[in-house]
Amino acid sequence: MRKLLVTSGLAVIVLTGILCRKPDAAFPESNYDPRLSGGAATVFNSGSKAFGEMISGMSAYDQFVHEVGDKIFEQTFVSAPAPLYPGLGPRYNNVSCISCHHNDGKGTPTAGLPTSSLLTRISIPGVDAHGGALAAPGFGTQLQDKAIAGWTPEINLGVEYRDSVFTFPDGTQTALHRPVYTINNPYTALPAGYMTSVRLAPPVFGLGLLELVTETELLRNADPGDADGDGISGRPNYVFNPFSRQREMGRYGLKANTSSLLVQVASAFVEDMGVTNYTFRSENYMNTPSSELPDVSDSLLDAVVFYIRTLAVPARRNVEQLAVIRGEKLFQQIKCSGCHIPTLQTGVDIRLPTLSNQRIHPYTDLLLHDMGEGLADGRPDFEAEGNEWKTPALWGIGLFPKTNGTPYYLHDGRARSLVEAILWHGGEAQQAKDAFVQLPSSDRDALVKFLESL
Amino acid sequence: MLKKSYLVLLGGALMTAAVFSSCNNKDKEDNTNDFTELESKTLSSFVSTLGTPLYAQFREKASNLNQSVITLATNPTEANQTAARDAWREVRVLWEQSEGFLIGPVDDNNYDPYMDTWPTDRSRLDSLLNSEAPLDADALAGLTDTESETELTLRGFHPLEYLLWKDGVNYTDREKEYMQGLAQDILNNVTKLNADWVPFSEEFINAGQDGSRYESRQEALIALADALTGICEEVGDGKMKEPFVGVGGTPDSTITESPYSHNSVADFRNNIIGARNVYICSFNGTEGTSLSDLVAANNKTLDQDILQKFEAVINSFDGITTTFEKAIYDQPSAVQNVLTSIENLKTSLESLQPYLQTYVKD
Repeated sequence: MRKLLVTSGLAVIVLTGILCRKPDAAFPESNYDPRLSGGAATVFNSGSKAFGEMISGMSAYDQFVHEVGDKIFEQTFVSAPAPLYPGLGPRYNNVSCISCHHNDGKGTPTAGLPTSSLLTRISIPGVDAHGGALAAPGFGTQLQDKAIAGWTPEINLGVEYRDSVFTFPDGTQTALHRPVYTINNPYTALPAGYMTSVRLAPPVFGLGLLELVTETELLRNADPGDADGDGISGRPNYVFNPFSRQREMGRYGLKANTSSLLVQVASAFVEDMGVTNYTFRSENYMNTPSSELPDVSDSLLDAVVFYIRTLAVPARRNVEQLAVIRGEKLFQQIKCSGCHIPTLQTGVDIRLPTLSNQRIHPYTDLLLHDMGEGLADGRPDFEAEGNEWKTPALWGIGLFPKTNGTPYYLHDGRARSLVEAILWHGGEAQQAKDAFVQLPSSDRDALVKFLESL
Repeated sequence: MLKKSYLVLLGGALMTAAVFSSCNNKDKEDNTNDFTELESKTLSSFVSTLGTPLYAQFREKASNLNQSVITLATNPTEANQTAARDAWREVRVLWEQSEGFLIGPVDDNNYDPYMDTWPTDRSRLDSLLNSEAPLDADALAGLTDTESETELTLRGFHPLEYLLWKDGVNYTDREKEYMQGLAQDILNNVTKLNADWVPFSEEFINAGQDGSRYESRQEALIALADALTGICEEVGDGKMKEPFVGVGGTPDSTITESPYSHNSVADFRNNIIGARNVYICSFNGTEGTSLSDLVAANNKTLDQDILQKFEAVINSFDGITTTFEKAIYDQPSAVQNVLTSIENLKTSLESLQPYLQTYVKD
């Protein structure tokens, strides 16, 4: 009898415990650390080398590979024959990755100088066999403005700016720097109807995280027909991956025309530096036989890709400041966050737990948006039209003055301040831009402070 | 009720305690003020005692190099070649020491690539010499024709090194022209660096105030601390380790940075000396308030540790008694000793950032 009582008493306790459990509450938003823009792949560095830190949690061998990749990223290549790092050119834009991607970030919007970070894409109307930009005969899809001895550069790029003044309703003024690009000294006649697009090297950190955001997650933010009527119609760019020979969703490049980090890095090697590799065995104007060894070895190319993949994201600064907090609210209120999506979730790469299942804040949806006439380059790229650009990530944007001395914003570095960059927004961003302009100056300052905290 | 005498004693004790506790508060406040002053002094001393004088002497040595190259080109004798080589080495001392603080214009404005790009592009160097292209400094810098600024692999210390360490003194006219252009180009760049340093140094001293890229004194001091760990990494994990470890475990002396002059050991040693000069804020016998003072204020152990580790590294270089190119084959334990000392130094220096984050509050 006593045994029965004890057993049933215990049973009652156990059943109560099971049945009266509270349902799992969602982890409260406020418990997340707002400084961790890259989740576990965040690093606390706000100096000039903030974009060049390795993610944590990697094995000793992976760290070694990252460092090898770092070294090659910074390595100057020279013209052949040479005992060390030959293979530059014969035509190129610069001699090393770091020359354009200064401190792993954006560089300086000049062209043709040893320290320039601009390059020019080119194409002619039409599409190639895979729906991509059609190469301009004699020039390919990129213009190289430097060449080794015995060769001429394809062109020289002239860069000039016309300034205009923008006056806010409250009387504050900002200068707008409108670039005027001229193609000079083409080595051969340019084809009819050619289209060019001048681009500034973008920062290279955080791409490993963006690589792991699933397509499903990104498509959730897509709204090509603007079904919700908010004026924002982000859409994915489906592109051809020349390595896997598949049609995939693009996410790298200023118009999201590249779908894999390997292709992004490999094409930069061959187009920007003339350094052939296992993905691109020949420059487009040479007919290098495939029997010839590539300029950079497979392992070194893979090391550079791994290096890029495992670069950490710098933590936010000043998140407790009232102005920053107010700025963040304004950012949402005026719908900047419609394209610059604050939070994404990464999927899983079992080799890199630090990048997997992370809650990240890149402030991008990686989708294409019409940005209006002012920013249009008129050059389509796969499904991206002439007035469309991929939303760039805003993480790290507050550190541009540190990583480059002088900061330059937007796809060609025309904006010298964040306010200038905002003022260029048009098209789908027109509403948000107008709302920004109408804000009282203290609110505009708060929003800028928020951006500077990223 | 207590005896009267005990009451008096108790009262006296209480009063004394009150007096002393308020004194303690004042001391604490004084200490905080002292520390804040120490922070500002560290920032300004770095500029006035180390940064500005070092860059000024750098310019002086670059000017000497320029002179000695002109002398060599005008009158190519062995004595003049030796003098030019010595002048090159002397400039490198300042340059390598300045790498102890790679912040400011040298980082922002690409002075490092303009002066120290490596490897030199030998095939293009030969083409350049065989061509008719002008080789004066203005032409190299693209000042006469903006579209023809010479590639970085053909400017700076290393192409000049290649020419100065040529066997013999029968320089061709083109080589003479080129070496003068190179030396003048280096001088021009160092002069510009000095000019660019002025506004940056003001930003540095005024960290935390309007107009400075540093939002706080903490940030500026951390930038300095990062530069110290950075140069340890570059020397220890990069410039020394790579030739030493080579590919697949076999040392490779062809990938050292100053291969023609065999000046690498001096280069590395000066890098570490430069870093130590930053830590103790010392240059040419003058000392100023330094990171060392800042650290010792709250953590004497850490300060002593870092100072000892610096000593150990600088002394460990004495174990290498031949050129670096030979040492990686013939004196591997001495080289390894240097690498280990640098690793230890770097580990200690990594405690600087958390220290600064804890104690520098502004």
